[in-house]
Amino acid sequence: MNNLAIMKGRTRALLTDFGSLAIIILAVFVCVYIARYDGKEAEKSIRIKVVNEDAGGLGEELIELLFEENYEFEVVSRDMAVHEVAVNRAQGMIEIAPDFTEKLRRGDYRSLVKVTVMADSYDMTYFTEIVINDIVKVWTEALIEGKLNGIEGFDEAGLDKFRAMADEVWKGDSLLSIETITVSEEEKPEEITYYGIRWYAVFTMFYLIISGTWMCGYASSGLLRRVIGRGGRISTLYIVQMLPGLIVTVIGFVPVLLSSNHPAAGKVFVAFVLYACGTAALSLVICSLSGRFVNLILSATVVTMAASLFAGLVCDIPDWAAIWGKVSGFLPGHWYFSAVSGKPFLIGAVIVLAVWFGVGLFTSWMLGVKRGRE
Amino acid sequence: MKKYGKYAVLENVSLSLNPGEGIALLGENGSGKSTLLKILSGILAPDAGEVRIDGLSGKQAKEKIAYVPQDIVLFEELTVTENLYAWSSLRGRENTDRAEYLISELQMESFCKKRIDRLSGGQRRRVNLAAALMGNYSYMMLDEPLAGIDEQGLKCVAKLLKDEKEKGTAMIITEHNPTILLPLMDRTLRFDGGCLV
Amino acid sequence: MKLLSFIRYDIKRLFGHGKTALLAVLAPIPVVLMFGLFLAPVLKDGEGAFINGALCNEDDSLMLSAMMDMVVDYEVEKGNAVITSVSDVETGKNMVEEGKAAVLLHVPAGTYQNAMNGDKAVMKFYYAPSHAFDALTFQSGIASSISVFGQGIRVINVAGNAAGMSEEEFTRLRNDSVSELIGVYLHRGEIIGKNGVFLLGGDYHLRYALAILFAACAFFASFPVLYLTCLDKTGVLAKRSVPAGKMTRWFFARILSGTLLILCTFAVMYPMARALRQVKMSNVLAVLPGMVLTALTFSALGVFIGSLFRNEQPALWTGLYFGAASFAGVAFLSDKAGLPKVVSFLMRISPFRASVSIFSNAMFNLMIERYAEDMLVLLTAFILFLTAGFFAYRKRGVLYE
Repeated sequence: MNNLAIMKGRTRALLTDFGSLAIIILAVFVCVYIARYDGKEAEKSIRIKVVNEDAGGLGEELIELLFEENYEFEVVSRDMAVHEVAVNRAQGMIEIAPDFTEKLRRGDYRSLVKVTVMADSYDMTYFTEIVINDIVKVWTEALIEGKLNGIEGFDEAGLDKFRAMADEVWKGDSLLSIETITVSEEEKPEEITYYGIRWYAVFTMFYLIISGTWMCGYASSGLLRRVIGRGGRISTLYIVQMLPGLIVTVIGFVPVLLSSNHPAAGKVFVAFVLYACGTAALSLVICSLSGRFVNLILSATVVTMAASLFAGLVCDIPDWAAIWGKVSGFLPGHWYFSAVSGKPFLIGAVIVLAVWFGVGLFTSWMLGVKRGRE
Repeated sequence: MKKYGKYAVLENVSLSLNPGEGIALLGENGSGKSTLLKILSGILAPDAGEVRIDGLSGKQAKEKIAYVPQDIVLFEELTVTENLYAWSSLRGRENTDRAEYLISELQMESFCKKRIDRLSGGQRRRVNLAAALMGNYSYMMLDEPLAGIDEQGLKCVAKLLKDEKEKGTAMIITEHNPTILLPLMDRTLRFDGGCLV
Repeated sequence: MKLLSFIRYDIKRLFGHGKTALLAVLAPIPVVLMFGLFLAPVLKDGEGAFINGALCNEDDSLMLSAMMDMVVDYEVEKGNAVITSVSDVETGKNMVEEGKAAVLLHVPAGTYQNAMNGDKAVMKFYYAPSHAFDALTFQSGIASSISVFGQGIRVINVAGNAAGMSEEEFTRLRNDSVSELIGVYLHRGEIIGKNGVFLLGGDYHLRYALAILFAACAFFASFPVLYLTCLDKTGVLAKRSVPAGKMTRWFFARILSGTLLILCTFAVMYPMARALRQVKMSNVLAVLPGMVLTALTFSALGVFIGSLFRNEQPALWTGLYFGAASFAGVAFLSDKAGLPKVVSFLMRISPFRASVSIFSNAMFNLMIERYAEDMLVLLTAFILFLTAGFFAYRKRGVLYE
């Protein structure tokens, strides 16, 4: 078997398959970007329309408070607000009731505003809280002003003084606050989570599976039997064919790793190489079972998502799903993530790689035997 | 004439076919036989020249032709019967009688309810032929219709084509091993390098 | 042959690719399960409750204890929380470390009195780093509301300074006002016409993520349609002489069979979504037209893309990249205000965005105007894809040599 020729052919096919190559190219750009800007929050801006139907003046006060929040508020008519939300130019609207001031003056707090929120964003979770809090502020001031006005001798000057002091209070610290503390005494890990190099691993898995179309046919065609019949070794065949794909992913990994500034870059690089090899072996199983490209696209997406999620590559595994983090030890990604987190990985990664390679060879051989019998 | 890039697959090919006449096209692989049949059937357009069937051209001419492709062109997921119904509808209307006739003539009763992807190569070849013959036509273009068919099947096909010829259907057949069909054919034409010799 | 027969045969063909059809229809199951596992916490002891916490209240004031009891009882009754009272902080911290509680709220002694006296009082919120997601979501909700409550008490205190009243008058004012402030705090939700104390929009991010998953799975379910269309165009329909008029019936049959396949995907996803987020049946019925239109649109898009290519691989790649870019745009850009006009416009007319909006909003909280607009966007996209796909589908023959 002329392994060099096989490898050259596979390399040429890989580099001319722009569909799959684009994944790695995109992955490099996206992950370098993530690595460089990891932890830095981009400024967000959710648009909210405010409809002020209040007959009194307290609606305006509420609006002034709202304008200080981290949303893009705009006061418009009701029709305009509905239209803007309908056409997705706004993510929510607040309608201040006509009797807003009237209710506040008598201490009533029920149905002061109507809030319509579109779940168009991950950032709408606290929006309602913010609106309610600002209304509570206006309500509190109105309550106190009402009581102060009832005090004999209390004049406009006193009211102005109270309002100014209240303004200062709202801008300042609260008397009551909640301090968040982690229970563990050990040192908290650094805030930077190396999402760049983690997500690149996710893209790598997808790429290695999706570019494995050559593996789809090997099992079902008579190729493997022919190779064995001529004294060739299918393990060598697969290794030689996988190498170009592995080289492409490793080359793409270099700029991503450098951008991440990981303190143990050397170890992470070794871990990634082992991860890529293990993933290539895993893709051998997926591709053999898929049979054709359309099945591969569907299964590649689901398998990549599942394997990456459980291995902790996409995001940290929450406590309630911790069992999956442990069980995921059979996935190459688990050991790569261990390396990124500074934990031991070498032996586990090598074992997992060997096991998946064995399983992959067995699967493709079995499918070939089954096809031969049909 | 028909060219692929600079390479002329067909050059100066001119022939006529009379009603009820049979022509066997012979030649080596790549000589242009299949290309000629595709042009005559309207699958391909010539780079120069025209095709006229009974004085008609274009869509009206195509409707008079039953083309049996060299490849197996069937709906793999449907059964034999369903394929015949589907193809007859695509050519005009669903014709159950015609389907039953062809199933009987080509001895496909034993597998007519099976999916195409579960059939052997020879069985598919028979269905491939039958699918093309669903519908109204005056001319048949058959591109290697016998490949992979067993001896019994060959006799059925030959009988079917003979019956068609007797009804007045003209046909052009390309075949590498035309022995069983030669008695049916009135003329033999040989292709060499895209030209009729 | 009637259109119905074409549809029947095409459905058989589409579903006849067993592995492909099964993958398309069943792929959402692991996807939604994973979503449920990672974004909708199901706690071991909480029997599906939103937060499982411990409370250590060392403050002996009746007012504060009563207030905490009312809040806790309400949230427990609503099924949002399971709260365990502990006598000391160490016990509570152990519970958090062992995973028996997600959080511990410690109210130190003298909290209420300090606040009344105008001094700062700090409560402590303990959590395990691995539980940060739900713990900090919960903490953010109560922290902001407690902060405003505390500021309210301070405002009451400064009122005394502003009015220059006597000690007795101030005490009466303060007691009345604090009592009313507690009242409004316990009924915060009623300000906007709802029940509850905090986190009234606490699951918007879950709805949004779920909606994106729904729409993405539906789009991927159109891949068999795309694949089969491409195969047909370069295979059976190209290699046999098929009248163009008859291809029209196949075209519509393909659109409808593809729609059915995608609707099967929805049928698989719905029970799972219901299990996760208690989606009401009446809301689902209300958005049924939206689901049907989404299915039609994605089916038409699949046929259109499949008709454009000579080879199924580039067709599938195009579908994959187009879908990935569209959903990435919806996931990361749809709420941004400062986008270039062209991008903003594309986001507004995107059928993917409209589909996600229908699932994230209409299925939980229907706003007719937004629903109508989203349906209009989907309908327009469907007509466009249908028209373009129709012309692309009928064009064949000489293209392939």
